[in-house]
Amino acid sequence: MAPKSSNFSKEEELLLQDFGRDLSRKSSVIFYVHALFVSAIPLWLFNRIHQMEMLDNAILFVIGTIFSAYFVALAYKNNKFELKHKIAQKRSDGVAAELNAKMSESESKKISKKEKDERILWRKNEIAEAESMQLAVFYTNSLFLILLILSSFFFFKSYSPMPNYIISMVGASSITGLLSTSSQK
Amino acid sequence: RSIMKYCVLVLFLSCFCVVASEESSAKLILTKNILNSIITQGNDLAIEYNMYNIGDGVATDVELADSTLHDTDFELISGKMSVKWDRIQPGTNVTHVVVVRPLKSGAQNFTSAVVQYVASEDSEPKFGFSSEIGEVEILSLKEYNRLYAPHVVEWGMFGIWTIPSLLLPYMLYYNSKTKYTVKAKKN
Repeated sequence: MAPKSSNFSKEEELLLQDFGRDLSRKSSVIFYVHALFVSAIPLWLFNRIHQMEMLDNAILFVIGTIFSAYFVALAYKNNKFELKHKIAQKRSDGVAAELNAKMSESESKKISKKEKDERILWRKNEIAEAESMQLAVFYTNSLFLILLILSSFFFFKSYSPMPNYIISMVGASSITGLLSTSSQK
Repeated sequence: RSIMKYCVLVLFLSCFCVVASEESSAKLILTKNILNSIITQGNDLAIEYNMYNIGDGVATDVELADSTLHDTDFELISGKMSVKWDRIQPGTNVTHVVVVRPLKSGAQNFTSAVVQYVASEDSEPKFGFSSEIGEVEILSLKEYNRLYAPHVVEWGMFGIWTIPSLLLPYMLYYNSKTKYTVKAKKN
């Protein structure tokens, strides 16, 4: 019984960690890779459509991409935290059904109701974690790219490419970051 | 008093003479226009010259010359920089078009062309200047591509680039969502 209980306390620790705002190392890496990738997509548009030379503007592009990636990653984190609770509530029944189907009759009798609930909670957390991450990435990227295209190809279309890039990247990423913080209320 | 009357008569007659002498002289008006709405380095640029004879006489030995388009800035594609007409009847107009290709980008000042003609028989040749177009910006090919090319391929590729950022996370979310929602319904 002793090793099992210690195992549970470890899980509980993880649960506590998972329902908090902090991210696991793996999640952080995933977020930063996504953020860097989506921040680098505009380079294609600025290089091919706004005709900015890659080599001439290399420093600006690197700074712009990293700056934007920071705010986009921040938005991922905030949006993920928001979405996780909403998703976790909706997935309860589905997760319980999955666990019940997996466990045999004897096995489900063997474990206490409390333990079963904890397993459901654990699995629910796992699923909500994954889903909220994916949805946060999708939602944040959509917002960032829409803002960027609006800024770069509508509002500041007449600007020369370099100020256009700076304004669009700073504007789109910081608004994306800002909107993610305002929704925490 | 009779001297006054005489003076008035002389004045009146002299006026009549002036009018009569103008009646038989030609007067040419020359306008110079650019037909393109967008002027690009390396692409054809059409310049149109319109000449109207608003006088009452026939203009003869008309010569239109535009020396403002230098070889270093423009390559002549079609038409002539200098044209001649034997006669331009009063109340009519002639049009001449020159197609050039700008070799340089940047601001270019388009100044007047010159027309030389004989307004009336046995008179000295007259000179006239066309209207000026003024300073016009010639876009570089790069600038033109930036502003006016449709960029279908570029936007298509952009769509592909967004797949890992948009479609992939949404698909993963959607799969997981349907998996756990359907199961809940079954129970």
